[in-house]
Amino acid sequence: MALSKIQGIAGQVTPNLGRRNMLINGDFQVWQRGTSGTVNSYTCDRWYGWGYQQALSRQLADGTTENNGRFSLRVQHNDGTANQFSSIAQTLETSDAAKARGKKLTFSIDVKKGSAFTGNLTLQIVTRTDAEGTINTGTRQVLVTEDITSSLTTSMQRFTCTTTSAVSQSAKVVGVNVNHTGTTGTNANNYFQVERAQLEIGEEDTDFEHRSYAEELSACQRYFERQHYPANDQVCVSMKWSGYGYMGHITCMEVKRTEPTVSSTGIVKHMGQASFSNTVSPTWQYMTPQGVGIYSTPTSGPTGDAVLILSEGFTVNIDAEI
Amino acid sequence: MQKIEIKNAKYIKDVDTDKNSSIEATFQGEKVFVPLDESNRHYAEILKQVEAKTLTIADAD
Repeated sequence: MALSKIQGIAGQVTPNLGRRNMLINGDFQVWQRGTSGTVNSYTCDRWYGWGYQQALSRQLADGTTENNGRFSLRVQHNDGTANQFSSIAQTLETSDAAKARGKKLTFSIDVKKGSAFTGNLTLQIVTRTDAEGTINTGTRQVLVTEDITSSLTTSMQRFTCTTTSAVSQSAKVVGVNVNHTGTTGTNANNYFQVERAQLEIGEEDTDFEHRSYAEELSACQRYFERQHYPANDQVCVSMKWSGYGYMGHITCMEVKRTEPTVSSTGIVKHMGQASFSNTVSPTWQYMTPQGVGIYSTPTSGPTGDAVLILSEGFTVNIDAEI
Repeated sequence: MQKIEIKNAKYIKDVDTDKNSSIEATFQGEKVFVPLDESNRHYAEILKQVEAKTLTIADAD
């Protein structure tokens, strides 16, 4: 439903519209991990690719001729096994899903298909009642499945589906799927592509809610953030702890949903008064939503007082996705 | 459905208490450190594969 249809008195927009879109990165603007990926991963922030082998990639938004800051997500099926599927999902954490309990939901999204698309495309709204985990495992309830195959074309169109029942009062998470099913092969044009995804409370779809990039990035960083220490930038993160090694702490830019997984690439050095030492890769401990601990033991180099330095392109990934 | 590949799972001990505090593993080719928190998706997947007897976690060094 267009906003023009819910104007209040004297043309004022009804003031309690609030934030309608429950999805984060619904406009596919934020890609902290890179612009291409594969199955069982988050490539576009907050959107998980699952199913069989697939190629996830960032594309310019439909109809744009230059990089105008608007993007879409393309999911190309990339598996020769017969009759398989490629899907993307977004799961909302319990704190956000709670507001949908007892209410119906509407999911709307712009979708187009590639010229060699085969199989079917469905939209789903799903809940899970046993744990705060992905909507695609555990005790899950599919509230609606909308098959849009027959209307799908190679041009972007907006599709909508609404749950026929209200979300359970015991729902732990709520989320959406876009499923490409009953397909096979690795043809580069066997894909679907999406833009402007919106999940909202109620039985009517409203205009897509635009948010600033800064807002979306900040929201995404609750679930994943990458901290990068540029070349030639030396950052001291710890002192030597006598008898143990070097322990330090990196603070998260945003408080995480839960205790995060950590990975890192790059060089860690121990720097003493007169010398550097490259070390083995650090280990990570004491992961909390607020920050993570780094620990390393030198194998050579300074033997006296020294500090632990992150430098030369060191990168830390802090992941609390669902 | 494509299985999530986990290799080389090994407990890491807290350097202070000497108790297991996290798991080092290779997830989909990436080395990660995973907290022992069931709300963490990587730990939830490790538990699932351990329960299915398709993954074992080595003791800490």
